[in-house]
Amino acid sequence: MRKRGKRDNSKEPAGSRAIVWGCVCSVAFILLITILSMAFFRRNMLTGAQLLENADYEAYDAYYTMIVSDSGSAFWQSVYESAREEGAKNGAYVEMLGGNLSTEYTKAELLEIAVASGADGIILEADESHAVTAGLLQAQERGIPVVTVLEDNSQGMRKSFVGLSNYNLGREYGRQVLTIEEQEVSDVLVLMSADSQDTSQNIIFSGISETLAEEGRGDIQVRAAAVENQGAFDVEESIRDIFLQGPLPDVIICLDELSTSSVYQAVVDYNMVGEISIIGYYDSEAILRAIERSVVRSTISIDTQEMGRCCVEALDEYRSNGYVSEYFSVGTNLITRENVQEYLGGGDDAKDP
Amino acid sequence: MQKIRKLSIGVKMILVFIITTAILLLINLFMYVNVNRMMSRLDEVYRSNISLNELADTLSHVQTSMTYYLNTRTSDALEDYYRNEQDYSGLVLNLNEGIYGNDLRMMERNIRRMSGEYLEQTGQTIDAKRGGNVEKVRTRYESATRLYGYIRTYLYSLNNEQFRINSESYQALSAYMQYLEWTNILALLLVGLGNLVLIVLLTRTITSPLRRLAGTADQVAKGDLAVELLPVVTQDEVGIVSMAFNQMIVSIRKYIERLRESMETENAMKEKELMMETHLKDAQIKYLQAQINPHFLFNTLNAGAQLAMMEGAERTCGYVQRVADFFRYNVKKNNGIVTLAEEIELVDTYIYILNVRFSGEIHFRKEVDESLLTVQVPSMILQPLVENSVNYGIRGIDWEGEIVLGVFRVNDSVCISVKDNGIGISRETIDKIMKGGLREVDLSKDSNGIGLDNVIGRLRLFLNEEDVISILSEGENKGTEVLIYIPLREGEYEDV
Repeated sequence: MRKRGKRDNSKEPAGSRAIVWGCVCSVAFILLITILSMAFFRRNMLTGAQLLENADYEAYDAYYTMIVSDSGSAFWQSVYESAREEGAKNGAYVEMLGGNLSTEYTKAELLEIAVASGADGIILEADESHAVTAGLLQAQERGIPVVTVLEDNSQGMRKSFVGLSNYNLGREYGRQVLTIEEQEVSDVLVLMSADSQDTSQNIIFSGISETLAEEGRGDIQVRAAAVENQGAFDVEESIRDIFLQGPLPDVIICLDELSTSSVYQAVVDYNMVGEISIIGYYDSEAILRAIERSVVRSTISIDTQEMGRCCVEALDEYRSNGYVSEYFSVGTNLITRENVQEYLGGGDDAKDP
Repeated sequence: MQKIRKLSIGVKMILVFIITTAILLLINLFMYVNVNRMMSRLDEVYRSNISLNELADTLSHVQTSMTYYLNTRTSDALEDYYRNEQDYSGLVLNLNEGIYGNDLRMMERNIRRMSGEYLEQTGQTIDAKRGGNVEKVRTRYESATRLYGYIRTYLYSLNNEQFRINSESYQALSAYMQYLEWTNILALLLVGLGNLVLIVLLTRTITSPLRRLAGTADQVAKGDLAVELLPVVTQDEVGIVSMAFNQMIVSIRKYIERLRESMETENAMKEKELMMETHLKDAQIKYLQAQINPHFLFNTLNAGAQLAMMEGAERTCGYVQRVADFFRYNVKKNNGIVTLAEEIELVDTYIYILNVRFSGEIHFRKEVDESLLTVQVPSMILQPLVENSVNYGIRGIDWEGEIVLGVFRVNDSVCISVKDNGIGISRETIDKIMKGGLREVDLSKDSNGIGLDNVIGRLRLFLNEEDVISILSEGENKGTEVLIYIPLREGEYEDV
């Protein structure tokens, strides 16, 4: 009997071993589920935590602010991007001041904020207004270097100016007018900002006139129209007025991005394509597309990359040496239908405003 | 493992319950802690907004108290101003000061810097007011107010931006919370499933021996005692019951074996008893037969013979003498071995007696091969045969009855024939006699008590073979012949 029992016992552990394995497996399964859910949890928690902590950002040594009149435009954004990249190379953080504020501040107010905020350098699209001049004075008192860009202030309190030669720009515009062959050109309208203190536009205007005269086309009438650009939507309104009131010129020369876009739209709206040639300014995608469709004849674009880079370089140079060259010239590019594809294809600075 | 096997069912069940509950509890706890941590994170989402609001409020308190002092020049207002200024300076210190590549951080920095500037301006304004410098008060106040406006705008913008980001965080976190809920539910479901499997498995360790026990018990109940013994793995209650059950089966088996053995013994004993009974009866018969002392009988008869002699009745004397001889032969040679001559002499005596009784009615003839008279035979075999012939063969027949006794040699055997011309005997009766079925003890008045059956039995024993006698009858009234074959033995043959 005992023998028999023993044999049964030796047979039995196979069954109980299966049960033990089953138990071990189910416990392992439970543990696996727990670990998996724990891992899933941790991952989610980390993602959530990252969202909250705003992450750690790179620290910089210097803080430059950039103050321009229309910080949202593609032109200035492009300049700003370039400046930011250049600044990052040398440990300077460049901020487009006022871009993220709930209140629209004037350049003078932004200048005051920049000074009060203790910026290490200011890039300013200056003008000749008193407020800006007062701000420049304040900055000078605090020892904050200011580099003016595109537009200068003649009071001389800025350390350097980065811009283009307005006279040369005017000559380029003039030459563009002369290339128009498919229509009779007798009347050229230059759209100028209504800001009377902006002298640079006058230089451009005279550049155009002189070029036409030199080339023996003194017969072409060159006139200027003031475009309000102080308030919102002013530019567009002024241009509509020109089209509604007339008389309409053969060629319209635009000196900034916004007016170029507006004129282009107005020409399309009033069905004047082919009757009015547009010579524009800047190379936003909309303008480039217009050139591609032959609505805009040509555009002159400033090398925004170079402009942004020069601003930061000027500040860096001043900060390290105590002096800097008074004037940095920025090159221009002429974009016509022939070479527009180059800009449309790979121009990463070509952004819709 | 060994320890687990020793646990009782109750403890095992409690263990199963505790283990599964503990697992579920732990998982739940873990989930709860995680969700709680997540909740506290959610609570923190808008903390930055709250602190910014506090900053904005304090800032406006500084401005208000300064303005109030400028208006009233009371010491209370001044005290208010200094307290607010203190608070504000403290709060501003929490803001970021370094230059980081993030607009919000930079806004904080700008607020901090502008706040320093602003507080300096307000301080100077207060000082100018106290010093009575009206012009300075105006310019400083204007400057301070402008800065106040900028700071407020910055705070407002920062707050807005922060709120937007925080809302995004909140939304993301809420979404994660939802994820977590689903994860929790899924994990709990899966763990519950695992637990279920665990419970089923652990319960099976308890129930499977029980089921085996039930199955085996069922088999046993149906009468199959040859079942395999239950394996005893655990030492819990079921194990004990299984062991007891095994013991019971073994005991039952033993008991049945004993019962069978005792029944066999009983049977044997019964058979023996029966045989003994038969023997007893035989003995009883023999005893009854022996009650008449043959010595007394033949002595008495001898006395009768002498008396007859004395009275001169010689024939009577002779008759009584022969009767005495007849009985003496019975006494003397009842179970012994005698010669054929002696047996024939007895038959002669018997016939003489019968002829005296029945006045010579029986015609007896002998055809004997004299050379075979020395052959040894069991005693008392011829007389019963002749007696049978007298009693059943020739009694009551119409014709003259005759009995012929023949002794002759057939090959190596002595053939003894007793033949009559009586009523014959049927085939069935012959068969019955040969099979020994005719065992009635015919103690009729003319029998000496030894039947044909007895004769056959003794001959068989003596010759050690079955085929010792044959009975021949050609039919009714055609007589009967009984033949006995006795093989001649070596010695006897030589003698002859």
